[in-house]
Amino acid sequence: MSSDWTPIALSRDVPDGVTRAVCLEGSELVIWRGAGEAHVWEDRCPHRGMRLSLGFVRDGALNCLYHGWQYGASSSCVRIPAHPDLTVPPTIKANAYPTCEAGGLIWVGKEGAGALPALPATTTPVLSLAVATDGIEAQGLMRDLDGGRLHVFWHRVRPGKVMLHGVIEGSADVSRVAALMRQIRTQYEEGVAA
Amino acid sequence: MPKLYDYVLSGSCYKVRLMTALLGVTYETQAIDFYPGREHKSPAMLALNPLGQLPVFEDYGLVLRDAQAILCHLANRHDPAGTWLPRDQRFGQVMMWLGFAGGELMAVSAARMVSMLGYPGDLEALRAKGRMAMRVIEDHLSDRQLAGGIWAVGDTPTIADIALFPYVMLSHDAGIGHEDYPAINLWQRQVRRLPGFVGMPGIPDYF
Repeated sequence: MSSDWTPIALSRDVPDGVTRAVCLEGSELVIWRGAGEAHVWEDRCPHRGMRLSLGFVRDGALNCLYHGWQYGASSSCVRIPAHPDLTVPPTIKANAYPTCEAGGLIWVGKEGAGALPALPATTTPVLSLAVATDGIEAQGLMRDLDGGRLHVFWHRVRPGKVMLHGVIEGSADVSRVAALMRQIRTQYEEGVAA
Repeated sequence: MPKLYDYVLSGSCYKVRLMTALLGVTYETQAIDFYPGREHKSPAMLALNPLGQLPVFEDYGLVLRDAQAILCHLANRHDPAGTWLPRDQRFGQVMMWLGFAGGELMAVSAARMVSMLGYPGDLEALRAKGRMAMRVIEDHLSDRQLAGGIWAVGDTPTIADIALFPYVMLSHDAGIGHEDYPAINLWQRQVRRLPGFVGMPGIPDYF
């Protein structure tokens, strides 16, 4: 699997108008969705360093909670409420990362990232689950289920912690698969995973 | 008129402020100098609550302590429809989460007091307990969301949500972010959208 792209959330968990804070390899990111489109940025307002994940989405733009600086989908600041008549210079921008959605997941890419890995065309989201472990053996770990297959993707939060993202290909009882994912969490945290 | 002995930075006092706001109950407050004055340990306050804790709430001639007990009282006296404290099979589940909010989840409060006010205590141990409590809530709410729900118990908000909400939100003050908790992230937005919602320092009241 290409390491250019890392899955960091289930698409379902960031519906329109929602911000979500994510930590990837110790870096703080914000995922937000406006007008249907998901964005992944550094979780930091360029004005005063406030976490943008504490802000709010309005009119398809992300607003910083601190002074209301508003950033559009292009990540450029489009409005500074304290200077309502100012045309904001284009150099004032949030730090945006390549973003895409596939397989029910939101992915963040390296600059110039290549193609996404092959993914199941249709998936049912299960859970994102924090697990105290250094990593699991394979990106896209699979477990066969009655009538379907659980794909477990993950990203490393920081040393000693990962976030699993489970999606089902085919059909299965989602609540039972959620319980299975929590069993996997327990196995990793107790150091007994196969 | 009901009276709340209040400290603005207290998540437990905020439970009462939030519930009264949601129910439209008007009341007066008396600000208590919890920090640094330790006024909650003064003879006058100990006469109202021998445990020396806030909040204290006076209503109908009663002097009530314990935020969860006050939530029950408010729902009992000021919500005749009984939606915030259902009397059907949901009652036991609501009580279960109230006990948790006043019990395990208070590790977040304790960590916050160490972190914010310099209280003595083992911050890392308290944070670990706080994270375990947050995980219990996250697992529960993610199951609720997979079943098509959003609230802690049943299809409508109850005092269980109001009891859980403050210290879940104030965990940031204790150094516990919400990165691990996608279901909590979606639930807390719905709490903040409730008609009449009010925030507090650290909990913005718009979104």
